[in-house]
Amino acid sequence: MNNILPIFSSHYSVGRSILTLEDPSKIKTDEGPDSIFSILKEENVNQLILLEDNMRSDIESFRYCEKNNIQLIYGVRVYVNDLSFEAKKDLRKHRLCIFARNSQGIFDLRKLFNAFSLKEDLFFTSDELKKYWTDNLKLVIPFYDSFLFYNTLTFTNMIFELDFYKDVEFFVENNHLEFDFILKNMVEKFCKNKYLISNIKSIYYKNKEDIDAYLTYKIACSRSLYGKPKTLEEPGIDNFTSNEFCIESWKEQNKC
Amino acid sequence: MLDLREIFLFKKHKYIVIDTEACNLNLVSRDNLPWQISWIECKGEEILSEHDYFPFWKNLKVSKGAAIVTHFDYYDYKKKAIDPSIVLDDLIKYIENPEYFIVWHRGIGYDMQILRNFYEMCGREFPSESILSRNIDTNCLSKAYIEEIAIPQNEDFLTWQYKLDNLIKKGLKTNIKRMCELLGIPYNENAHNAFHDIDMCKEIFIKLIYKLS
Repeated sequence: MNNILPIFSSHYSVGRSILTLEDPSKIKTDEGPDSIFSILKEENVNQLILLEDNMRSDIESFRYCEKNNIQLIYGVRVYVNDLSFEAKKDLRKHRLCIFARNSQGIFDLRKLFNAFSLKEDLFFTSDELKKYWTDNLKLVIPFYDSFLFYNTLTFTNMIFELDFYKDVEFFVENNHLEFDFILKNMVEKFCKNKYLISNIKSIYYKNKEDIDAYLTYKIACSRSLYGKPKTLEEPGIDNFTSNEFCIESWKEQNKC
Repeated sequence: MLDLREIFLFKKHKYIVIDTEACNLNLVSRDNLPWQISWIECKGEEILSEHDYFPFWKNLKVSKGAAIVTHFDYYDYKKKAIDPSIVLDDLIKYIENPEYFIVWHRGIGYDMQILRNFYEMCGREFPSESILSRNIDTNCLSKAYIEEIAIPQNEDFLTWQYKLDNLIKKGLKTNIKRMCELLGIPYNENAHNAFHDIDMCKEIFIKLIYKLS
């Protein structure tokens, strides 16, 4: 598999990533969290694809990238739920990724995300999403938690109208999760001759050995006053079986 | 779609019923190794062979919680433990043989990962697709039985099992003890000993085939 796009998330996506956006020149110790910019420098990559759960990192990432001649492609994850009111009770919602196509796209994305973050249940309906849509934005269907993911691996039957959007793209990943191949087949079947598929790698930590730090962070973020306390020995996080969401795995898969 | 009746009632296929006991419930840790692996080889109701192994790991760290639930005794384990490669060589004959279906309880959600760690620790590649394509998870069948979900005719059996594995509902309990109660199978109080669990798992499998077919 060649040309796998590394797609980073930073610590601004709380509970998802332990990578920071710190300027490498200001880092004085080897200890502590890894910076996305340090990783880009080490790997000699001049493009940063940043996909976040909110837009708190846009200015910080833009400033550094502009100063250091790094091309920044910025996107956010939003959730959509078109089910009936009754079905909404279980709050099952599928995820979409929205990227800015150009500088104006960043402003459009901000406008869209502001509307999204004001939603009480944190999801759009398809109609609401269309209301904020512009040609400066690009829709991408993620590999995990998409409507295809839920339709394939759960009893949910979600429908999402894609015809409204131009150049829709689907992400495919290989993180050695047992169901990856089932999902990949489903995406390929769905996209055949209609939608573009990109091979990507979601990156939330630097190396495979960082998995304990990442798991500790996930446990801390999902702590609750009620129920059994979560520990490293009993984390209780569904489908948390892979340590491949890292740059080390991206390098290995890019070599193949 | 796989016809479960073919395996048992018509005795067309052989199957193994397998279970593992491991160090903890952290499925991402590669140190979470199986300290007991047991399986029985079956055809229809008949048991053709029995296998009960304790692979030896030098730095085995069984969590307190797991040790209590599984009655883990390090000295007893050390007495019985053997070279893991001997265990794997025997296991491969069955688990990688396409003639065998693989029956387990919570295999998709748990034992798959433990076996993956076992393979990796022995320096072998884990054939997950091959194993999954022949896997029958009685935990998933149990959920289908309790929730009255019929086996669909036009859907891939594995995908259907994944849907059931991801089906989480308040009050939906499908552990071995609960299923033994529901299906009228005598419950062995030595549960969470892999060798005893596989017997109960086989009984659950047989009963569920009748119920679901």
